[in-house]
Amino acid sequence: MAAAGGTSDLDRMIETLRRCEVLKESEVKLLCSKAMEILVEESNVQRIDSPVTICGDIHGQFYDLMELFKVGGDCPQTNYLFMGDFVDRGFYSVETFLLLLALKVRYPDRIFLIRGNHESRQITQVYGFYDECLRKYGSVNVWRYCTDIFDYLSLSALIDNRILCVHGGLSPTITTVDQIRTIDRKQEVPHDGAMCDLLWSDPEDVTGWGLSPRGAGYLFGGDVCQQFNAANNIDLIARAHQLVMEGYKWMFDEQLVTVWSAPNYCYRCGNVAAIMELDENLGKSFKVFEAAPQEARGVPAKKAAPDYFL
Amino acid sequence: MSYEGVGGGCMDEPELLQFATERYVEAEASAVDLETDGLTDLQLCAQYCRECTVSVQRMFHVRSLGRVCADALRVGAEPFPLDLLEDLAQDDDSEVRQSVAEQLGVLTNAIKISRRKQEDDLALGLLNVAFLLVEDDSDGVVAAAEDATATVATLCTTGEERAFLISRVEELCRCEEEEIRISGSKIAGELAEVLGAETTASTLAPLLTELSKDGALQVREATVRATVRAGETLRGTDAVIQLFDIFSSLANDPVWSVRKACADSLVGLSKSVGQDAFAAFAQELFETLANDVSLQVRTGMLENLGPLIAELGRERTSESLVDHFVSMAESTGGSASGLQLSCAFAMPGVALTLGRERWAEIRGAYDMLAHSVHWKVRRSLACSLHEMARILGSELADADLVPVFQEMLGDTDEVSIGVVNNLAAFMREIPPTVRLDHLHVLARIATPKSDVTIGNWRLRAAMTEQLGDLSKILPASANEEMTIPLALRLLKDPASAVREACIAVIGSVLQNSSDGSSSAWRSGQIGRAMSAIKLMATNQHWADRQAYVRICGAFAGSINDNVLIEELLPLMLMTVDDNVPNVRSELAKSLANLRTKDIFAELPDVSAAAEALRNDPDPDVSRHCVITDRSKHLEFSTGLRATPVK
Repeated sequence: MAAAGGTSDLDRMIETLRRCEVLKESEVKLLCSKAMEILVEESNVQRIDSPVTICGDIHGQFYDLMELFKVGGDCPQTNYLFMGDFVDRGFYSVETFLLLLALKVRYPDRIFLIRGNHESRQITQVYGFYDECLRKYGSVNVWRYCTDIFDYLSLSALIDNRILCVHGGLSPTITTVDQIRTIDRKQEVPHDGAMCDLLWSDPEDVTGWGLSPRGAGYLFGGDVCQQFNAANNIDLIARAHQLVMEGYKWMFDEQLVTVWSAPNYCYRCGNVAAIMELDENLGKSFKVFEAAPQEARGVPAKKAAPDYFL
Repeated sequence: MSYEGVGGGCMDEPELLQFATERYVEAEASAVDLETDGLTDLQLCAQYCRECTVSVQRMFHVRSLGRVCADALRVGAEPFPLDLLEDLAQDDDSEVRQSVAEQLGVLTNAIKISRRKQEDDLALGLLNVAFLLVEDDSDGVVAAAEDATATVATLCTTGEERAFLISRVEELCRCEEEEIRISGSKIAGELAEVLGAETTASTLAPLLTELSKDGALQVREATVRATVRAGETLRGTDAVIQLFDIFSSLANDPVWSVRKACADSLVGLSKSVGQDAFAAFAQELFETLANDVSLQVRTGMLENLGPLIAELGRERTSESLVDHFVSMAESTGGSASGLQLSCAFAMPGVALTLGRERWAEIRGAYDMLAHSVHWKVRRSLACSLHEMARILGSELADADLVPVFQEMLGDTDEVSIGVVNNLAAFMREIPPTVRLDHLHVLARIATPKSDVTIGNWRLRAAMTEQLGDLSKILPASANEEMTIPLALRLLKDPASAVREACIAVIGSVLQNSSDGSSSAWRSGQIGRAMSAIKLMATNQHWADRQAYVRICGAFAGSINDNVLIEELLPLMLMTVDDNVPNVRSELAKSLANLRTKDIFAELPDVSAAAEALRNDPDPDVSRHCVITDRSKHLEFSTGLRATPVK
């Protein structure tokens, strides 16, 4: 029999989560402790080799995450980088985050998770994850385990030293990738400063820096992006954080791309979603997909309505 | 540009983007966080039920109560928390009260299993909670309590308890409040099975007679359904006539909604009597209700005609009944969509009942439905097309179903997927020569809009899954011309799920298309397909190389072993040095699959590759390599590695 937390336990947890069923509280605790051991070793700028598929916000839309895997390929057959905002807004933040986390523990070199602005104690209490944990577990314990793990998530990823991936954007206090490496990330997302900016900032058609209407982070223009990329010898910044109706959006002469992976965001926005596939030569291709149809969103055990009477 | 989402009205794009752009906020945690030390699960749950202020947290514990209580009863150390249930049944929050009602059934079963009933007066206690909730103001609470009462009643074993139960039901049925009499009627129907035939005949049947004459129409409606339920318990007894009399009088009720309830419930009476008695009763009542002055009653009766015909059987189904069935397909106006859908839904069942001999009577209706303007009607027929072909047989299917099949393949995705899901099963039922006429449509379905936009991948995956069975029933020439090129195209589909489905079937497609000779794999369309597949092994895109090794793994068992060894294995083994670990890990899995067969396991090159993969620096690769030393004393080599492994 495998030891607790061994691969057979993990495989069982992954199978449970793939059915969109919650784990036991004790299993969540175990999973999070294993995840912490792995994430603590990762750099603030996690180095990733291509090929890899880059994904944007998921926001607890579990069945759309399943759709994403159907389109992009399952993990570990395909490598994935998720650029944060796994939780809040959707109905299944618990299952969504824990599935991604379980995959991370099971296949640490095949899937990478970086932190989004919603991976925070403050934001999750307002936008749904906190209430969802209470509804599904009756106590704050699972929320605590998860938010403690959020503190260990990396802040960015660098693919083949050419593509920097971050949830939000740039910070006026950061001009080099090395400066990101020096941040002490193991804390709640602060209200200001470099760590906050990486998770909150947005690109905008402005020159230089601007105040963000979000109340955290900054707006940054094409010139800022161009200077950063040139100074750090990178080709592209890939980020998420903003709804894009067409799933992805190039900006600043293709020096920055926004990828959004939550189709029909909040089950009402009517947008399509996208993932960006990078092959082993950093060739880019996008896959644009729609929300999972209603019949794919039910509880699998529930019998579908028959189509005819015989 | 504006977007209409699922949950709300129209918003223009700037509004949507503003909605999706969150601001920074600060918040304080507000949930109750109790110390668990020293408390049992039941004590803790009870404390949360009483103390939580955050609604979602409290509901979790209220909803857990049944399970926690059942666990505690199983252990047997704690008393049943009747006082907590009584308190929660009077909670201010209707969701809490509804949850209590919903758990009464679980609690009842837990009590039965733990045999605690004798120790405490739990049967009457729980019945009181149930009846309290039946008289609740909230509809949800009442409905849950009505459902639970019959289960709770199964705890009543003594004469005293049963007498209490019956007197409470009688009180409900004779209450001044109409809503409560409705509940009384429903509970009376459900209690029949619990109380048995004798008590049902002596007590419940007179009560239902009384309710069938109630002044409130909703009480009489509920009585229709209760009568049918009670009838199941009285099956085979003389007392059942009493219930048929009640049903007949309600079917002639002056209010249309009561008559409609009878139309909806008529088929259910078949469980009360034998087929002949039911047929006589049902045919007469059907004519009355199907010709009712009220459109709703007529529609309700027709919507239940399919199951009624299936219940009556071929011999007892009159031409008149079939005429009524056909009239549903011909219906127009406001109720047409519902009637046509009911007719389409019931079509396979009716066709099976009537048999091929009477197909001519409903053929016109079928054709009309196949051309309905309502897509759900066409979809229902599309889903059952293969069953219809099986029922009608090859000749009739060719004449009457093939034209419909052709049209449906070109219909909207919602309709065509119904046909595609059972494509091979349908094709099997039609003449072999006819099958060939329709293959060209498949290519259109298999083509995605673009490499970027995924579109309806489910339709393409559904078609892919049919290719294996389809290739079995098509001649080799058709497979070469159509099925194989289609499979090769689907191997490159932009959606991973479609490619996966194709990897699983392409071996069968090629094997079914070959004449069994090994030369077939090196020439003609199969040879060209093999060349195309082999090109994937050296494609510069890693996903193609990964697909190649997976195809080779899937081929084991579906194609000739020697063809696999000679044609595909050398290139497969070359990927042992691939620079992408995802390719090597799939190679490791495919090799593990191949090595379950001696013919592969004994190849030195295969063993060497497995050994190399076992030592791969990437743990996701090496974990798939379970080394079994089966490669000693071998001489065969695929050519890649000349020296056999010792």
